[in-house]
Amino acid sequence: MVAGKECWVNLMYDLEYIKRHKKFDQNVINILNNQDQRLVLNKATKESRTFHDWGKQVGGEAHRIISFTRLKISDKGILYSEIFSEHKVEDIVINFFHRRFPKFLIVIGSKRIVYSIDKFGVRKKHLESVKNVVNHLEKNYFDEFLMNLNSEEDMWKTYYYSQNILQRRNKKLQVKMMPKKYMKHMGIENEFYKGNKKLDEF
Amino acid sequence: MNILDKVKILGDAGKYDNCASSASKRKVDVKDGIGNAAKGGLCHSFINGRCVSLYKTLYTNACSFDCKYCENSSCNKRVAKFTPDELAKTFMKLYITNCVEGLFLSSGIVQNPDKTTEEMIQAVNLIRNRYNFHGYIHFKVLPGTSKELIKQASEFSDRLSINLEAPNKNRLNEVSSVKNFKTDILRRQAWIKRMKLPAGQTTQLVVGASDETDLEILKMVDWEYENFDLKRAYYSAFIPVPKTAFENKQKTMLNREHKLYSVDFMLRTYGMELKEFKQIMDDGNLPKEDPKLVLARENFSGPVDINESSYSELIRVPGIGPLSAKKIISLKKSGCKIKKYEELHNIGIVLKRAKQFISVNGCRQRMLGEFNV
Repeated sequence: MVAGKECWVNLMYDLEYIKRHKKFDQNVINILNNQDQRLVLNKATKESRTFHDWGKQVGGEAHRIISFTRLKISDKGILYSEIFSEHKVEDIVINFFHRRFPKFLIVIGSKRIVYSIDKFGVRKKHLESVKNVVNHLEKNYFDEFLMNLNSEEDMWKTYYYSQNILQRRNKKLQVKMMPKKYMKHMGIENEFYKGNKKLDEF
Repeated sequence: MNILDKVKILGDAGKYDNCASSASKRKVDVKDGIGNAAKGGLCHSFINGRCVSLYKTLYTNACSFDCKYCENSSCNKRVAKFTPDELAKTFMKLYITNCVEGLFLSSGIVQNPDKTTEEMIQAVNLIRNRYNFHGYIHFKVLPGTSKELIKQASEFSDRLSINLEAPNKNRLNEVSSVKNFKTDILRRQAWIKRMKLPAGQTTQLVVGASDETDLEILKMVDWEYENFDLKRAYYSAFIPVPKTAFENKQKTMLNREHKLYSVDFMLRTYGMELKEFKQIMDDGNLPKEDPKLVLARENFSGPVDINESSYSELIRVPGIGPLSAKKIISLKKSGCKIKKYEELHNIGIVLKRAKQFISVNGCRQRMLGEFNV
């Protein structure tokens, strides 16, 4: 393979996202380098489409997790949440929340890895569960602002259900826009996912 | 009344307003504060497929106006009102736990629009200055609010909007006896235009409340795009609300709202003109089928060659949008020809809709009339 030709795929694509895909394979890059560049960039070959799709799937998952994750406030004012991701997006998610809430200590993790990030932007990896990490960090930390905001009332559920317009009920669209697997992030029940009715329920 | 009751009542009363969190160009340094506005906006949940992105609430649902379609004009409702402090704290809790992307604040009108707006501004001021919130705020301007207060609201908001509700003066008179179309609404829109907000201004129309035609609606919206730099218009199909003057009026089919959005998108993004759609309208209303499909059937005498067509021809083919049309043109410019339908599919074209209007490398779909029976 020609050296110049070898690097164009790396230059043209955002490999940072694609490499996070659970099925990522270096061979696909080699195949793409031997195809017509113009066709590849416009996704007109099967391999280029797969390659694009990997990036899209990782980006899509990161976007959905960022959207659907509900942060919790611990007793001493740490923002934390557990996420459920197929691809390696935990660091993308925690960086997003750090940009949004730079003053607070944040802990985000999945079964794979747990990250914490402080107000100085120092990110650390942990191998324990999210709850254990929060308990450990709480020993030397408190945030008065978040402690004051923390309350028992479940405002989110109340607000969410108040937005329902019965005349606009659309089960198909709901299932499409909010896949079942992300419901875990939100902590709300959804009537659309209760499964099939049993015979004696009719 | 506790805070959860207020969240429920005022959230429920504000649910018919439409909004989105996207498109704020404001850049801020968030190091000292909380929040930012994501470029493309984020949907934090969906209910019945509709995005719940912002904390959409009324400041109060008490209202002295008499809009015949509106839930706030009904009798026997539970009246609630936030204090500025309660609203600010409720919103910040929802924002910090990542439940919402920003605030959409509207209100019923108590006594006069200025008095209610003053209290709404106090709440937004607290959110911006006490809590240091840097995220997205959409502030609803109440009809008849003074220029000075609109100016104050614009200093705290990314987007201001005022609802047209109906496409012209006569239609508005059918649904409300209090609002003046020209002075209460259009004049305020002209003021907002001059304030140059980061996310501009939008408007909303209730479709079907005053028996207006699609042409009336589109004419007005098209005029607003040209004259008021409107970012976008929202259409809300009329739904009869119990205990209002229009409770027995027939509801508008959601399909009509969908078609209006489709034509609106083509006017705004494709650069098409309203006069093109007039030819497919029947008594001022859009056809039952997809407007783009009907327009293509009217205008294309035969299939267009995908490798020879211009951008404006491609964009008029159903199944081809601005992005895929640009991709085809860029391939053409680089000297690469499309040879198979599969390549078009990979580019992102919906072949099921486009096939009857295009030819690729000399191949085209045969029409039913061409078969010898």
